[in-house]
Amino acid sequence: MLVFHGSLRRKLLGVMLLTTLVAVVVALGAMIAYDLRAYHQGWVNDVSAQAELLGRTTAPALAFDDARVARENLEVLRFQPKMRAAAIYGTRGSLFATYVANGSNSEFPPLPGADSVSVEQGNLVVFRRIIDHGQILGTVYLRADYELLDRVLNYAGIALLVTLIAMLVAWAVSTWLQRIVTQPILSVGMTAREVVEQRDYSRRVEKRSDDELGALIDAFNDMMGEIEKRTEALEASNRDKEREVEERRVAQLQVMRLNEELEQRVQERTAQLERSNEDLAAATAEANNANRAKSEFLSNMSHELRTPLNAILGFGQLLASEDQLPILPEKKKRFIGHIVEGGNHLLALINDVLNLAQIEAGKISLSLESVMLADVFGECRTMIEPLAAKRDVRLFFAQPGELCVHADRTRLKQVLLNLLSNAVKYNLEKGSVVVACTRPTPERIRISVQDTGIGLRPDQIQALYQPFNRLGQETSDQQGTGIGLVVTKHLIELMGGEIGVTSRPGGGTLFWIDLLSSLPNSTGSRKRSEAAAAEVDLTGGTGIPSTVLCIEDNPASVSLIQAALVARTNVRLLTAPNGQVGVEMARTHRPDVILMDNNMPVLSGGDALLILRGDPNTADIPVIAISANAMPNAIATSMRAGFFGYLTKPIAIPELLKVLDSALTLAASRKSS
Amino acid sequence: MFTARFRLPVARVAAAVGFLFLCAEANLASSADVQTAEYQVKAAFLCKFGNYVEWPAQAAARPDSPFGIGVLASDAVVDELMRAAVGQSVNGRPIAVRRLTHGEPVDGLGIIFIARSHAARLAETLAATKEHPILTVTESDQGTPVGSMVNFVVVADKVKFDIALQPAELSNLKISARLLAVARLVTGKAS
Repeated sequence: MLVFHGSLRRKLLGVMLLTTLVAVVVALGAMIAYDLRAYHQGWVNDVSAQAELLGRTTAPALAFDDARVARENLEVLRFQPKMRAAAIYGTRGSLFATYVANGSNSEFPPLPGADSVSVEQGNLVVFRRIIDHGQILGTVYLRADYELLDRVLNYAGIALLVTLIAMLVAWAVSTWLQRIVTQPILSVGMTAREVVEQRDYSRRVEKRSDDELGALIDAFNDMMGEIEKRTEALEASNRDKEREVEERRVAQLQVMRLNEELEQRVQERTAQLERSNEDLAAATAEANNANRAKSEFLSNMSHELRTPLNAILGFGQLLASEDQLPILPEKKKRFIGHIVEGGNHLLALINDVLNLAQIEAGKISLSLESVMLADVFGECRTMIEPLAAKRDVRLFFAQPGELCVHADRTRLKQVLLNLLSNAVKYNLEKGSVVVACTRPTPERIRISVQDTGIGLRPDQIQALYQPFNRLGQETSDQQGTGIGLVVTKHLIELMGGEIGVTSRPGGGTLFWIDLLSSLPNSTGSRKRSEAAAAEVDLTGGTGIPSTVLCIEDNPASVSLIQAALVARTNVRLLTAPNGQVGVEMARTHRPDVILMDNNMPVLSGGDALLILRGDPNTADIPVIAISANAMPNAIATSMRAGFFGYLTKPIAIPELLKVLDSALTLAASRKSS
Repeated sequence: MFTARFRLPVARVAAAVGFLFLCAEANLASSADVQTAEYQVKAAFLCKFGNYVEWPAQAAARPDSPFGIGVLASDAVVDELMRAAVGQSVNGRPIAVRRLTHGEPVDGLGIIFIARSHAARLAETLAATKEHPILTVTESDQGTPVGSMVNFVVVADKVKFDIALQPAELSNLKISARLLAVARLVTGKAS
């Protein structure tokens, strides 16, 4: 602002002063030049005229050789102080008369010059010849002050003074003008500056005149009015925008909050996902383990299956080669015993594996009912006692009284037998097994089986329920499948119970199972207790002459049945290689009983049965199914289809004979009736 | 000594009259006659007086007619004057020097010079020129004779002259103030 202020002011002042200076200098210069020129010419003329006059005056003196008169003539110059010196020269150039003003140089040129005017050393020197009546009488020499330089100096001084005064006046005028012209402009500028600095658009500049400046101020004020209006509009719009921005900010905050929540949720989800990933990894690991277990299982199974087969096939081959290698009768009996034992073991193994497969496939069906423990204990004791006696192990069974558990009778028995057989097998010589029964809570009943064996290490306990893990007993002489405990555990859990073990090395092992207690159910509770195997007459049978049709595609099976029935002399055995032939032979021969393989080419057992049942001639003939399918479902289905009985392969000969006998008895009764 | 005293003024006069100077020098060199030098100056003066005097209109017969100077003097003086008049003029008219004898008419003359040697009949001569427009020039050491208008005197070895205005006025001659300014004495001025 100061710069702006000073500048304009200085510029105006500068213009004014410069103009004035130029004007004054030019004017003064012209005047001085003119004056000097006039002075010079005038003075030269004056001095020349004076010289002429002197010449004329002194001409007679010269003519009549009167130097005194000439001097007197020259003395007239005394009244003209600027004439410094004068001289009259004669015709021959000699000095005739001289005049010197006071204090002036008295030197004269030795010879006169021609007519001339010259300036020498600040003096104006004039030579003029004296001519009178056509005769050259002599020369006048006149020396006068030539004050041109003094004049110049004087004039310069005056000019300086005048210039100073003019400048002063110009400065004053300029200041005055500045007040008139610049002040309004400056006030406009100042107001504009204040407006910019203070943002006060209501300011106006005071109008002082009606000239162009007034118009400028009017225009400025109008502009300010316009700006004020615009600014107000702009501010209003800005306020709107600020409000909008505020709203947006709030919205943004909300969005950010939502984002945070979302992020949190994402984190949670991620955590969940991670957890599920971990679960998945665990599951995968488990699956891998299971896979590995399955592989191990298969390899174990192969081993376990081949072991008994080794005995069966080996001794079978020895017996088959009896022709070349005679075998003593007692040795033969021992061989056969090994074969039977191996076969039984194989059967037990297959049963266990099937059980396990069923359990794992979820296909096992339990018929849960109230089972009296006393019954189960009794049955188990009966069944395990021979084994215990063989190993000289004492059995102690607690008296369960009227306690009942909610379980599947058969499976519970299976479980207990498994535990008991383990306890006997892995017991010490002359050890003991204690079966106890407690009721820790009203709802639960705990059955424990404790042995006096070598006990289990903790790592063994951990691996207890893995298939084919025989806990170091693989090399012992005790036969086992390694599946029993696995099946046991599954069965207990299926019955809603629990199984557990406490053991320490050298301290024996205690297995316990917890089952739900239940109220005693009197009806049929002892129905199956009659299951004591009736002694089967392998040879005699019913003694009734009868015809049995065996429909079987497997020649070995046919041979086995033939061998089994060799002793039954009253039974005529017919065989048919498949269902088709079997059905026709049944129609033709009308046998008393039909043994039918279930799984045959051309016509299956079931379909053949339907055909037989559809034919009045054969509808009454009892049909006994022989099948390798030992699944309870299959058995049940077959029984519903109308089979008289169901025999599973491998065929237990006593069972076969027993069922056959009962069927023959039924047939005979029908015949007689 | 005298020569030396005269030498300078003579030289000055000679400078004004040209060749006369050479003659004077020659004369001075040949003889010590002061008279000669004196008359040389006087001759030069005589030739110049005409320029400072105004004659009445009827006095001049014609503008181109010679201006006559009558001389009553020795032959040497006349010769001197004749030499001095050569090339000189009075108001543009050539100068004619005429030797006069006593009693001879003075008509047509502008100036009459009566030398000292002929002063015996001075008054007669002057009376004869009275009423005539003739400038009368004498050389008298005893003051200006009556009737004489211009009288040569020698003061301090220099040739000077006195002027008497009264006879000039009587003869209707107007003597220039410039001539009066160089005169030693001017008489009759009051009248």
